[in-house]
Amino acid sequence: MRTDDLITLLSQTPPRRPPLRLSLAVVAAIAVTMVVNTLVLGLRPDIAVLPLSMVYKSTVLLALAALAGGILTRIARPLATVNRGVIAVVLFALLVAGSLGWEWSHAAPAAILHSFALPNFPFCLGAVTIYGTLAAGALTGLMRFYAPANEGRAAAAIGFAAAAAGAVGYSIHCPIDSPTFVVVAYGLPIAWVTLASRMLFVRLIRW
Amino acid sequence: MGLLLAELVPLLRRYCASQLARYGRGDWAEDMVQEIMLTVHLKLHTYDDAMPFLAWLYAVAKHKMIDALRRERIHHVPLEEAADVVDGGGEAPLAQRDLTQLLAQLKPPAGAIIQALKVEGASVKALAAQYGMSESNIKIVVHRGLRRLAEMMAKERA
Repeated sequence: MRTDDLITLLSQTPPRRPPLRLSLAVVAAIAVTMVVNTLVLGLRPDIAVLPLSMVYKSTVLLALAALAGGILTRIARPLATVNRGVIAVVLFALLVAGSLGWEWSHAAPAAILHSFALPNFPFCLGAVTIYGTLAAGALTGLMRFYAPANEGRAAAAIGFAAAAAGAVGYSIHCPIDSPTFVVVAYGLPIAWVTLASRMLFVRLIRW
Repeated sequence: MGLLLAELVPLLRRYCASQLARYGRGDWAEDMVQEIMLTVHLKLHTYDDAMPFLAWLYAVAKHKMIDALRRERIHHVPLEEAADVVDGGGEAPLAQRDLTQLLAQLKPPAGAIIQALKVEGASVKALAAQYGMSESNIKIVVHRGLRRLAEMMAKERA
């Protein structure tokens, strides 16, 4: 086909409808994992009381998912700029470090570490990993409609956002709100889903 | 849309030809232009109004070219293929150009070495002895010189 013919053809073809926005897809992933989690595992027993510690945990995880969604949205474009994202990551790290410092200065180490001996710990690791991996698969499919300049970073951002969404969804079941527990039990699966996505899903992102 | 694409074609042709010629694939330029135009049509929604359009376009073009070169597993240009660089994609054969004039613009002794090696058929070993350089250095000088020639030709086309 000659280039002029292609121009004629494309000018006669209506522009493609934009795909679902990635930020909305992350919100959808949170909603779906929440519904699935409620149906499969159920809600935490004290959710009606809405304890302050749960509000803290949900705020931290939602902030993480928002941050991950923002990074994902930016990375999906050819001219990716994540300068403001770096500032947000630093602010988030400070928030988490502050809450960890507060916990370790106010609670006995044995009480903090006790939560890791409960069956919730491995369950949390497994649930966030499963939710995150499934959501990462869906986001990878959507990413094919976008144009990331760096597929490796895009795949890592997908894993990060998907696992963060999975963590928010699972958090309404888990009754442990200790900041240390949240950092470890939610942070680990988020880290390895990000890594796995970077290594595996990167092969599926082509545009 | 048609008007925009038509305006972009000459820019893309020049850009693709100059970039791909560095890898001895100047003849891919027209196919690449078509592939990029298709991508522009499909991915226009990823363009952010706050950013310069040409920067977005060149980012798309660069990605498509890297993708195509990766598909062909081209990571570097073998010296034997580097001569293709001079052809600039076959649009303007070397014979039609004033080779001597172009070679004279290269930093000495690159022009003389390329002339001896590629035109007169001298061996790398003989040139290394003549110029008191190692054989690897001769190859590097030739490689860089050919790349510079391709750049000069691309500029001339522009």
